[in-house]
Amino acid sequence: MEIFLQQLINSLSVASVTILIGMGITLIFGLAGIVNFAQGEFLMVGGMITWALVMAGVNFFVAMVVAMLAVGLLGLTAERTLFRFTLTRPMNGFIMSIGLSVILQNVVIRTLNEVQKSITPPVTAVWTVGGVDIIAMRAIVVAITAVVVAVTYFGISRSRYGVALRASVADQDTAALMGIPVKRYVTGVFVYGSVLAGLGGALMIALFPITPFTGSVIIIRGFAVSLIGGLGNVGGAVVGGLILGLVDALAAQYGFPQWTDAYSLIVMIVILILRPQGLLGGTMGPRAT
Amino acid sequence: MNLLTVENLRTGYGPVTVNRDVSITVDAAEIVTVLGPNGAGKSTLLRAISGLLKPRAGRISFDGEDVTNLPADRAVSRGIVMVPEGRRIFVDMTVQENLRLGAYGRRDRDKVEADLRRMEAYFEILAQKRQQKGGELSGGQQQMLAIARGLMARPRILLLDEPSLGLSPKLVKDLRGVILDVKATFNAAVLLVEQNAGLAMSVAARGYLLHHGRFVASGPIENLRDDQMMRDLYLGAAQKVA
Amino acid sequence: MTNHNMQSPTQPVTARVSLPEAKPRYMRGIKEPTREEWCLGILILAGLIAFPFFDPGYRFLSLAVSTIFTAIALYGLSLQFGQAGIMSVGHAGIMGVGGYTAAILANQLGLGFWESLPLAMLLSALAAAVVGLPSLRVGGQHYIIITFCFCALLVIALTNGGTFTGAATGLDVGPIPGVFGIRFAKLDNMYFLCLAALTISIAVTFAIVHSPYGRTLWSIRENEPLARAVGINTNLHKIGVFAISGAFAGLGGILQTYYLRHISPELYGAFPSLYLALMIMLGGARPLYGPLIGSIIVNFLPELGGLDPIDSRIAYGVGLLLVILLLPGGVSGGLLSLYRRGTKTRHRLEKGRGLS
Repeated sequence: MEIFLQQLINSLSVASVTILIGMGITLIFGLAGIVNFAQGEFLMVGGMITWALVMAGVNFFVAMVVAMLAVGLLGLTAERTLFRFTLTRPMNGFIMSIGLSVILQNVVIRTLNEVQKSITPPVTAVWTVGGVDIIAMRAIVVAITAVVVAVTYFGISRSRYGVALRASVADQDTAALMGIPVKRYVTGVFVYGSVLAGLGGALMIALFPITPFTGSVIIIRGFAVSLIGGLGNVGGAVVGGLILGLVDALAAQYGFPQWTDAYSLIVMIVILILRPQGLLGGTMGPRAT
Repeated sequence: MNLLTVENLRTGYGPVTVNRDVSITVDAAEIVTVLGPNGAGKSTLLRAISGLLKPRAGRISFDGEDVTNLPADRAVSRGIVMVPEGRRIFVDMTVQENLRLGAYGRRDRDKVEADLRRMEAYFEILAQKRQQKGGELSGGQQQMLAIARGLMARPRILLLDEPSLGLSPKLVKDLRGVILDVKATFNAAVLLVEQNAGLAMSVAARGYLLHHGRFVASGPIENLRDDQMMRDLYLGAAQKVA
Repeated sequence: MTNHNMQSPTQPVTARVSLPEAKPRYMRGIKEPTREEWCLGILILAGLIAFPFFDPGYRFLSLAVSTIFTAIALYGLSLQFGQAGIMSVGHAGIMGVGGYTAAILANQLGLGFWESLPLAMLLSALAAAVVGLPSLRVGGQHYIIITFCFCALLVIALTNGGTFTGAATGLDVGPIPGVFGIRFAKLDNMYFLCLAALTISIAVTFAIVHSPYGRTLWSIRENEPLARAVGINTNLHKIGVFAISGAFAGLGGILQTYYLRHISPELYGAFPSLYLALMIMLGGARPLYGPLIGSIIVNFLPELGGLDPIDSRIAYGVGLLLVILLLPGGVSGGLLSLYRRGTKTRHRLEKGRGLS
């Protein structure tokens, strides 16, 4: 049983990263109608920046913040130069994000190399809680993610901006008639989603090594998480992440290890067949006129 | 000087031109109506004025300022507020959230609560249903909510796009009273787009008749009522509001 | 019931329509190619046939073979995306189904290329139809994600398939048995075989696009609710185009397997699928030679431009961005509009000359 708990914490820490990506994907889809394929590469870039800074002697948590800001800037640039032209044709935005992800991945390969990068975790302690050994870093990752999730969730459901955001998702034109600057919100959501990805990358490298290909591996899970919960539904991404975390824990314990990745995909397919709009119900993208 | 002046407006979507050479004026204390059959381009005109649609040519001035290409969210802060066709209530949000959203663009946030209470006082039904989701209201109630939401922005001109659509004759009567009060109580000019000629002519002082995107008649309501064009277009379709 | 009067928008108005009675039954309702299309087709075909005789060298010839079987799969994708409007990044996975069917049949039952061919295409068509089912219920972007995940799942399944699928190392196959004395182990002959398959693919694509079925697909793409309202069974039509597209991919896949004499899972993962989508966007999905152009660009650019794989992928990405922003019809679409503008000016000049 203790081993299972341990596995759960471990899976939760992986799930945290997935949740961060999934939230970004789902937020951006909800408001801009675009599925951002490059979200995985944003995470990878965040991890790489963190790695580079830590290697240069910068404190991990400072590096983490810098990475978040840098990736946020990356997202801002991408939105202003590319995605804003595709708001009326989200499919084009999606395909562009595929191009962007290819570019980012190969630019990183070019500037760094394909060898995997890792850092020694900033916190190497092991806590013993109720007879169970828990790796402190993993617990910290879960804690940070939980805080971010809470902030995001309450931001969307309670704050003034959140209400305006939900209105923009429901009906873009009418939201504009209320005086809501929808385009600015789209940019804002893009930046926020990118910052989340950057954070995910920093947290990820604190736990595992990453390579330039990490983005494309993680994006599948990000998609799975968002689709399971319902694209556009932030709570759904969280639920999806938790479900996949559970599936991973079970798989590691009872399943065939080579099929680990497959289990989450199979779960996603089953859920989508039974309930295509996701467990919590997603949006179909922003509805304009 | 007129509050709103539209000069030679040309609008369209893609390869299609909708409004050609449209000019109207609205004064600060007026209720003006734009009439016309389906597809005449009335909604398009309002969308252009409210900032949802960029005109192809022409000029829109509001209170002396050129607002031709002003996007909708900025137009609201100038005092140009539209109540869109089909009401467009945020169905998953409560009545109160809808009303608060109406005031989103306002700078004077401290007065918003007072206005909220004012709306609830004027539209009793909104006070009763304040925590209910917008989608649970009936058509007529939604229309009142939409207008109240528009008024929350403290407009100087309220653009109404076919508010009588889908309303029973009794509700249309109530609507008439509300429209008159927009001017009388809430001090906003009204530009009313309607297919229901009877309702429109019972509230407006002046009117324009739109057909295939152009104006074919205009003037004081009494003149329009007797105009031949009006009769031709509305033969059999005119509804009298008692 | 179905709208027979719809002209395909990319065809010039100079289309000649032949009398229905003169055409064989299976051709009825299919538009004849225009003069320009014949000319362009013959030119391209001639160029492709002549290519090996210019002694391009082993490297270029193998690149050409790769280009061709990739293009065959792309024609399937062009029907799915260009005509029916449903994009997929799982197409490489379907190629994999075709290729692995052939490889497994060869290793387990000793069946050769010619016997495996129909089965490979059939299974690919089936797989594509099954993978296409979700698209009937979810939106376009949701569906693309699902196809992406399908590829990932397929790779995992193949890698863990033990000796049946050859696991990570994959399977080997023998050469294609010769027919009429032609040995296909020789690269030149392989090239011509693929070229023949490509020509058939292009012809079939053309026939489908200009058939009543193709026009129905287009109407579904343009306005699905309307199509359903006039009584078209949109689901059946969509499944049909998935199956057809899958058959193309299967053909490409089996050719790839027998060309490489080997197959392994990573050939059909997410990335190859992305590159297929990239090729079809770059080349253009609707113009008839778009998929071929897309395949040529992506396969030959690194060679001709002297770019290494990394830089060329960056170039593809940038190219894709530029295409979306500037050239929605892909390179072939851009060329097509250039051509049209040229002919319009030429006609205007001729008219002017005629008057004076």
